[in-house]
Amino acid sequence: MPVIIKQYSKLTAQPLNWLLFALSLALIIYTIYLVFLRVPTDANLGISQRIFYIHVPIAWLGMISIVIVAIASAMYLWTKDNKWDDLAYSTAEYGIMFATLIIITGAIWAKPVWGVWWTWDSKLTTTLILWFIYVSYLIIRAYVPKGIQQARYAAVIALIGAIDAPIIYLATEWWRTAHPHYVIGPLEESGGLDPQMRTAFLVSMVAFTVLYIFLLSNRYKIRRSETELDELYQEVSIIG
Amino acid sequence: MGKLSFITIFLLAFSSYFVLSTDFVYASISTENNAVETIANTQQNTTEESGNNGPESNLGYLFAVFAIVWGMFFAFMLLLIRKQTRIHAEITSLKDLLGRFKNSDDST
Repeated sequence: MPVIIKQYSKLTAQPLNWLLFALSLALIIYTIYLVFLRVPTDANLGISQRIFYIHVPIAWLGMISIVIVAIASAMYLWTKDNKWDDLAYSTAEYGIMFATLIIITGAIWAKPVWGVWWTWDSKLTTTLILWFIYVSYLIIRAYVPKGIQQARYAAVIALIGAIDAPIIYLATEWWRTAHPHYVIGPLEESGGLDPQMRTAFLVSMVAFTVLYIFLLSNRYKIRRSETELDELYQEVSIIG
Repeated sequence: MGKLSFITIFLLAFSSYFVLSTDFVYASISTENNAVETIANTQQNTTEESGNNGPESNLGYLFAVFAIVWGMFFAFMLLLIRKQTRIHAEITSLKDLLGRFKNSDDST
């Protein structure tokens, strides 16, 4: 445990890193305060509606992750710079975590609202597809031998997978779905969210996004260290 | 500072549970979105069927969501910190090893 604490203090040692950490912590505390103490409880959905303030920001991060993975992969294919590949891999790890959380939190919300844990609704199904895309990406990373081929295969999966992000977002528009229509954003319908709910939601989105930037920047640094370690092993094996 | 922030982040994970025990503010009007109302009707039927339609009847689900999300976040962070510790140790030992190799080459 002391080793973990020591490493954790190293993790937050750089000024920008520390600023991101402090900002995300403050915003998350403020979000929790807003979600539990300030926002009104939905008259129809009851307390379970408060899951919205955590489920939707996580869904946003899950979708933005695949877009970042795809952009970084495209940049890798174009420039052949390993930094882009490292960014794609680091983001994909968070992507699968968020995709898993979208499905879990969605299922927990669906049970009291729809009466079922899971239904083959278009939005749920396309999200499950996103989860499988992340899984296949990480399987390639785990089982294809390290090198250019592995990075190329993974990049192709990421580029194909990115197509799913707009489909998930527009699923409510394109198909008949149990999911509610847009209550916020460019496709918002009139009579959307209550102003207090809207504020809490926006604060939550910002809080999770800042936390995501903090986590991703640190994961990326660790990934760069892993690459450095691989290079050192190669150097040692040549000398040895 | 690092120790303090580490403790704070864990406190944050469990704070949601204690906050949940406070009184809630109820809105008289909900969102006017039709789709939300449609789902709300489904919910009403569901809760009526189960005989559990009190305003705080879904508290367990909310707690579960918060616990799972924050639990997963912290588990992931712990894994990363462990990984970082291991990698740094390996890099240091390999650099030492390479340094020794180079020194021995120079001396010969």
